[in-house]
Amino acid sequence: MSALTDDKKIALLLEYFRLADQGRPEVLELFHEDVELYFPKFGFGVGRQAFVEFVRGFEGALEFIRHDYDNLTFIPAGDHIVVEGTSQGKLSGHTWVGGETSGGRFCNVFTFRDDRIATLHIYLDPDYAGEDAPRFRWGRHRRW
Amino acid sequence: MTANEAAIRNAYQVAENKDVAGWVRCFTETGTFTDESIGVTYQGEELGRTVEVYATAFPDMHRELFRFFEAGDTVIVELALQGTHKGPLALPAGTVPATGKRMDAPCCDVFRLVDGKIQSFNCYPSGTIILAQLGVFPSRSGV
Repeated sequence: MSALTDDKKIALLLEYFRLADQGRPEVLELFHEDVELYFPKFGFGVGRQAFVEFVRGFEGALEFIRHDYDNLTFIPAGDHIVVEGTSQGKLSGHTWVGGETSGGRFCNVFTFRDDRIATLHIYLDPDYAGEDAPRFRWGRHRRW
Repeated sequence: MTANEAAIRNAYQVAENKDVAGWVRCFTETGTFTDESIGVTYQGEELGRTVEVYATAFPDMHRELFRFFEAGDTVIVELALQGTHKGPLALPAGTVPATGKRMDAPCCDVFRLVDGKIQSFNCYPSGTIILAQLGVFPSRSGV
């Protein structure tokens, strides 16, 4: 259970998106130590280190990403907040603009415990820029 | 179970039964279905097209429902799209002949209801995971 109000959860999530876009390690502080992460093709991971591993999968390829903060739709549902939104960025030289290109639309399901994020499930097509070559960025032996 | 969750569970069952007309009736007159992986929105009779396409390609199509969340008239579902590719899969980029391979792909659906009917259905599948599982290698322009 989380004692945070919906407004405080949403403020924390805006901070999450901003820190994640800037690649700042403080983003890890928003997660519980045993946070559960899901991202298509990455699969499931547990712990803050899993988030680090997830980010490393983009190293050398992701030039920038920016979530469209003003167009995020937050849907509070008890300890969960679902976020629909778009992002834009550049991956391996290919640009995407969510809402205009095929990639970049996402739906995240966050679960809170106490005052931090306990689970983060990200749903999107990870072929952001329509390239698809690195779809097995984290190896093939993953439970999708 | 709330009335809205029951309505959505029924809609999934109607789709699983390949009841195309019944699926369309789950929506309001102006209801929409958006495949967020490609940014395409369907409305009216076209709503049934998506069920037809996947029922043809995956005769054993199954939606494994994991978690439901509700906020007012919004219902969110985490699920997996499962099936065996035994028929032609018609996609905007072309038709993929049957491969005999199995699909088991993550998805999240966001429904907004009005009086128990679907006003909007935003579907967030991972299209390229499905294509990878089918052994399809799309061109650089992607899917």
